[in-house]
Amino acid sequence: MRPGMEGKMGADTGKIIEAEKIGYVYQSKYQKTRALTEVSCSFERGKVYAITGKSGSGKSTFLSLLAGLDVPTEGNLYIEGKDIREIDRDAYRMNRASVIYQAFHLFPLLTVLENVMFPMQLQHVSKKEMKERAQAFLSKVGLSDTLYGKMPNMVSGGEQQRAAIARAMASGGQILLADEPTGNLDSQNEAVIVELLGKMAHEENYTVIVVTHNEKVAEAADVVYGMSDGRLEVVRG
Amino acid sequence: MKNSLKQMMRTPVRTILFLTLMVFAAFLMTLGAGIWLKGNRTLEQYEDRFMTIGTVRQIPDSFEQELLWNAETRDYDVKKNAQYSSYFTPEDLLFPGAEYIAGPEQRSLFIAYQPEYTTLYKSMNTEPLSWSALIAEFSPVEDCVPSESVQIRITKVIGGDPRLEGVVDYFCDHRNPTPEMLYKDKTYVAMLGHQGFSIHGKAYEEKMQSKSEVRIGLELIPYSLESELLWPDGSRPEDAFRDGQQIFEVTDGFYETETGRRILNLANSELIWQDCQPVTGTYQTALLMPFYNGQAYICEGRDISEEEYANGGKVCLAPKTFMENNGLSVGDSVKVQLLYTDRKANAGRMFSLGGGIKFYSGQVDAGGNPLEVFETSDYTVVGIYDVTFSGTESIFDPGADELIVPMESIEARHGTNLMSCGPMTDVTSSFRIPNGSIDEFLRGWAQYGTDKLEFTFYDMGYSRLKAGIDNMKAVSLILFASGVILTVLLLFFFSHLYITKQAERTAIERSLGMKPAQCRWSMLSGFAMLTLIGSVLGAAAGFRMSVDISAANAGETYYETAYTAGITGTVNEIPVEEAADSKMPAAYCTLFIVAAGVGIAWAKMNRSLKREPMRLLAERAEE
Repeated sequence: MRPGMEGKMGADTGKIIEAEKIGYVYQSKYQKTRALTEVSCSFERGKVYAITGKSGSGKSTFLSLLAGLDVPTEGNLYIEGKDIREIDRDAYRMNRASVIYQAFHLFPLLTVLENVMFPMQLQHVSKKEMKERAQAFLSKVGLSDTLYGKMPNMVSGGEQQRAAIARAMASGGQILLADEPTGNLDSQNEAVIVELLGKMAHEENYTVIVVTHNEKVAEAADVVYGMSDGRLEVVRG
Repeated sequence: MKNSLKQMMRTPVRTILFLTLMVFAAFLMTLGAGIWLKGNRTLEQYEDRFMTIGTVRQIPDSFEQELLWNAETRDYDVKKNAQYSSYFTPEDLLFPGAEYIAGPEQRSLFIAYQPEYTTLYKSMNTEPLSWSALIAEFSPVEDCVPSESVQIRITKVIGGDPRLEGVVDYFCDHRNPTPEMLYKDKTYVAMLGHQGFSIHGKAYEEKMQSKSEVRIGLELIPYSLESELLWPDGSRPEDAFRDGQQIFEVTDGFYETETGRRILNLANSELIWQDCQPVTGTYQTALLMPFYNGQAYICEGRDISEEEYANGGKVCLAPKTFMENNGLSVGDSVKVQLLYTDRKANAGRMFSLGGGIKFYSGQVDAGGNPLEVFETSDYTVVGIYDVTFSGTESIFDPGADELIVPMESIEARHGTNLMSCGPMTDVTSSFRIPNGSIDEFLRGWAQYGTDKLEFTFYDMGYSRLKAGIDNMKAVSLILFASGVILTVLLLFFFSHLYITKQAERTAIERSLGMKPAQCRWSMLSGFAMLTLIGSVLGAAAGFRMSVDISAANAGETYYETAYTAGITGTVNEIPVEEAADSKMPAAYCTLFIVAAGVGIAWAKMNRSLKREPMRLLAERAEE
């Protein structure tokens, strides 16, 4: 277990993340906007979770809280049994949870290989090991070594998303948060990514949480939550 | 930083453009700052090396025509004499706001009778004064009226070169429209001299008709026996010999008469001039133009100190030739016997460096009595000065054997045995003002002064140097301001490209677990490094260029160094440590640019960090 990740509940129950009536209110200078209301749920290892809902329903806000980029304004969110407010959330993102996006968000000025090596640089892994592991992750997501030295804008969207998944894997975390990961992909690449995410959960015990509009993605998930007006409900459990 | 730089290098055009423009901006800033500081330092360094002197000339109120008979043209010559209702004094130059470092002064020239010393004249002439100072008895060769050149035989020299006795020369009572008959069997006495009139009349025609090659010489004319002595206030006492008879018949007992005694006294006084030495009283050596312009310079010993000038110390500066001719050295005393005072002439006019002497003709009082030494003092020589003499005479020339003494050291300095008096002139009157204050002085004078005084300023080229440096500073300010503006614009523009537009990168880094400080370092390090490299390169180039421009400008700017060389006898060089060009502008410009770069980037980075990463990245996805 990495620093900041100590906890009992998750280890005992298998629930790696547990939300307990969490709420979130955006407070700007002039107004308050409620994004989440009493969201309670839990996420286990080895499963793919899909969160569906309309735009503005609070999906991304919820994902942001799960990624530790912010904390709930109400309720409690436990990561491996520890309140998210009490853990080092930067270390949590660096070591435990990774996020992939609809627009891939690779570093545009680093090569595909360098992008995957990046999280390991933050963990001070040696250059040689970093490279070997990055190549292994890229291989695992099915990218050929001819693409390693290319800039992200020189490869296809599907390849970029796979590189993003490889980068997420390189961080070493077992929680993968995906925000519309197939939103910019064609159906063929969409299928590849859905399969890849499924494999990560079922074969490598990742907790995969996908925010999506896409029904096919949702169908492939083990658990589907629906979000509406900031409230979460189980669609399929 | 490595990642940051790596990513910057992958947009080479942008990076090179940023670097190049930063180099240029830093270059402009440093060049401007360097030239500006260099200009300031140059002015500071030269402030003590330059000196601004003003000389004063009183403009006549009017000119009075004097008619002088000319025997040659048989008509009257018109001589214009300047008229002054009164003479301005140095006190009249004290007006509100006037800032004098020394003076203003109207110097007095004193003639010292120094028979115990060898003067330049004596060292150059083994013979006594001759034609130019002759009082002699003579008889005409034929009975004649000296209304034109007539021949006379000099029968007895009373004052002057005795070898002239027996010589036949031409004579004319040139300025007298009604000369009296001269008889060959009578003896006459007069003060004789050449005044530049050629032989004319019958004698001239005879000479021209002569087949032998003859030289047409000058005729002797008689001079007035009137006293030149003035009252201390400059007014002229009554004198019966004014405009009076100039040729006297010598009869028995003539020299027992008042006229005879006057002639003998005048004859005796003329003989003393070869033993006379000019003494100039002043309040600062540099107020004397020969020292100011470098014609005279101290070659041994020191200058008279400010204290000695103020307290009237019995010290003097003596010329090298005088010291050598008399075997004197620094520290020796010179006994100075003051005989005459002159408020009109300077030493160079009376005692030429070439050895000539112009002297007064009426060196007796109104009663015909000889004048006596009025003050005797021993002066210690503190400095020996040498003089460069080109051979071309100037009104500012120093005088032969001229001693420089503090004016305050002469007790009877207010017009005792005053032989000549006049208004302030360029050669007698001067003052010293702060460098660069000429315009201010003239503005003040225009407000409080009179248009009857005219000033001439000498500043060794300081005004031109300062004007040049001021122009250079104005340009440098433009360069500096351009550099600052360009720097700020560049930093804002490129920080926008490298930081604000890279908010997505910050968001990705944040989502990958980098702390805000790490993100800040990741973004700022490369930007700061490029800024640093650009500013260092630009500052180095700007520094180099500012040094070159300053050097070139210094070479092109004309300024006199004569005074410094003159007073000290050393070459006017700036000490090495002073001349070393300061690298501070380059250092400060670099520091400023880097600090500004980091500051601007930091502020923009903070804005980027405030944006919620997930929302930002989601927004980008929707874009």
